[in-house]
Amino acid sequence: MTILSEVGRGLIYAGDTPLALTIAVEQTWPMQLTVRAGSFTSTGQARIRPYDPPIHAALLASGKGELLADGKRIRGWIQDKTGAPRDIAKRYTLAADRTIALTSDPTRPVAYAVDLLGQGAAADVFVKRRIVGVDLFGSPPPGWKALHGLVYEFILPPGLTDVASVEVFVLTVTPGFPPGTGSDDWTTQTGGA
Amino acid sequence: MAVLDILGIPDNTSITQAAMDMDAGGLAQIIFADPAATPASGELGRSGSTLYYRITDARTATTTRALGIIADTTGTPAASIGVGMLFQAESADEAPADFGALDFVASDIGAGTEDTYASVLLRVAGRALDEKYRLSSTAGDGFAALLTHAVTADRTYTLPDETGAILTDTGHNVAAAIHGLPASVNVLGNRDAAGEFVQRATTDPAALAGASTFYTGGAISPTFAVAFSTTPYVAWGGITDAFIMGAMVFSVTTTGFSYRMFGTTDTQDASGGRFIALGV
Repeated sequence: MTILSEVGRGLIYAGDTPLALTIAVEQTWPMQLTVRAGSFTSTGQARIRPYDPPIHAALLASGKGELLADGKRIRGWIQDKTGAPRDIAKRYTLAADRTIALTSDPTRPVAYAVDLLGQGAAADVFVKRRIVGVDLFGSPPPGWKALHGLVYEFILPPGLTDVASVEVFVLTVTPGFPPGTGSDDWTTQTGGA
Repeated sequence: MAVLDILGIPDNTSITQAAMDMDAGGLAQIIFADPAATPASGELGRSGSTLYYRITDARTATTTRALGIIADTTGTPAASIGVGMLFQAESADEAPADFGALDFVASDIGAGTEDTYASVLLRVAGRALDEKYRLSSTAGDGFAALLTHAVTADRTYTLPDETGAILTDTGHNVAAAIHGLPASVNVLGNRDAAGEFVQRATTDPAALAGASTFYTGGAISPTFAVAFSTTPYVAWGGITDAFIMGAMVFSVTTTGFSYRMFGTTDTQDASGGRFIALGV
């Protein structure tokens, strides 16, 4: 199995957001993936503004905003109509490794994908499997919400016994911006899909 | 003060003369008695409070100007020379008081190029008569305005203090005239009764014809190159295959989105689609 991350297919820069990921995916047996323990931090929903102490002091004091590392800008969490932050960045921890056994179908291709789930501060993985053209992926178990795709959909050909030849794209988060760019360069993004 | 007879003729004496010029160098006023009847043709006379000059002719569909006023000059005429008539009544402190005037004034006194305008002068706040309305000709072709009304209350129309065109019934139904839009700029939509803006478009054909089978593939989930701080807007398009009908974008997050294409065949090349994401 070739585990990859490319721009547009799993590789993402965090930009000005708190997005972070230390959870890794490895192939550990011919038909097995292992998701290593780690954490995932969501972006939340915020606006970035130049820091103006007279204006933003109350925002910081109330926890509805936070200063960025450069000390010149503030991240203000978007508020709902009651004034409460709608979605603050949150860290979810996958406490232990998870192993995923892959099984092919003798006659039909099988699709797999893996999502990160969250419940409270805990993270877990949700393995999705379907027979191509026959099944649909299932839904997360009750009480868990889908946080992010971790392993993007890949196909196992019929009868496959070793996934070494299969390309799998996984989520990878890199801090900051691509070299030579800044936040102003990424308000409009285009790409192939 | 005694009323003097004209040329010594006693009051209420009729004089019949086929042709006569009266040149009374010291004549100050002519006093008309009120016979309570309008004068006959060719006569000038009073009936009640009104002074009449009457002319009776045989016309049927033309206009006779029964009265003429001439105010010419011994000087050299120039633009703004005119002739007018003053209307007076009485106000609290003025008797008589100027109430209005109607002037006809030349804007061009050139030989063969004369242009004139009618000027209505009125008073405002006790000030002297001043021109408030002008109906002017424009270098020969002229200007005609017909104002008619049958209203039961005062109506006020305030014109902007600018030069511009007033819509007529040959122009009011032109979209560009209504919206003030330049050429090639279109407006779609209307407001409903609740004030909600409703978009509407006409499609052709009006009804779907035939039965088509639509195929859809699995969801594709691109990630953005850089995470947005808030969920962006995402639009998908750009695919060149003629049988791909479109794509539904869903599950948009700050880090990516999903989309599912649909088309009329199941073996088409679904590659080459492009997206644009707008956000901060």
